[in-house]
Amino acid sequence: MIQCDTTVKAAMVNAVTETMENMAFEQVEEATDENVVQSGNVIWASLPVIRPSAAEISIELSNDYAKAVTEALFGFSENGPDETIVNDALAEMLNTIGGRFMAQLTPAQQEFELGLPKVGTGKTKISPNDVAAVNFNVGEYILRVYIAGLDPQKGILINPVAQEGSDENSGR
Amino acid sequence: MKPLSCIIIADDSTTARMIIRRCLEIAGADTATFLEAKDGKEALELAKNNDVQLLVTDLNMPNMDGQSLLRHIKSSPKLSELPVLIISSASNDAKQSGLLDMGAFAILGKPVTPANLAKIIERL
Repeated sequence: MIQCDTTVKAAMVNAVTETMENMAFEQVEEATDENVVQSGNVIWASLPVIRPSAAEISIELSNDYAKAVTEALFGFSENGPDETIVNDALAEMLNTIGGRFMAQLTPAQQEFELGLPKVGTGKTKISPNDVAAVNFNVGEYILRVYIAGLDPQKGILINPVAQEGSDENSGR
Repeated sequence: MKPLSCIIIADDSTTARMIIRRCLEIAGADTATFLEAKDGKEALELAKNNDVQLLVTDLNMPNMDGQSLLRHIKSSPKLSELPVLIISSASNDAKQSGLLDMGAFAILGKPVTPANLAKIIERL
């Protein structure tokens, strides 16, 4: 696992905190245990960064938490939220996190561009050697954020990481 | 503030459209009719065929993105006066400057809140 430099890590903590508080009304805290394990079925979303350099930001969380967030946004229903809506909520959450993250790391006079998010179920095939990870506690749940394409020495986003081997769709 | 009787919200995310609508309602547009579009093409058709007071759009959408939508609106004699509010995650000072030059009424970053939307619609 790559170690985030402090600027990148602070940008991600700010992005996740601001997004979760404003969008999902959730208080999040950075987890102190870096090796915490997700329990139960897992869902992920992935967002490519196209400019100023290629990178990828992913989030991973339990299905139960994804459903809980969706219900917080849309209201409760008897049969729980539809999978399409869960995927859409997750994609929008990541889109907002990615935007807040890149806005902090990109110089004000330079534009950045994000791709369209994808959502999938099952474990991601991210190689731990290629990414930095930041974990968050959200109540009883864990929200894990991966940043691929990061040079921790220079804080430069350099290479994307593909999500392979699990079921995925556009999330929208 | 002019009464907003009809507002278009263009975003490819159902979640984003719902959040923006709720925030606009809290910000004072609670009596408006909301028309929703999944991309710029749909939004442009809705704008052409309805008496709309505000168009709220995302930037990053399939088919026609928000920047192309803004360009179409501002180049249309019938629609050029329609205020276009852009709400996007991919927004920073450089992007905002270019969009304001193109004729955008205002630009907000996501996550949007009722408070920052209220400041925008007060200016309409």
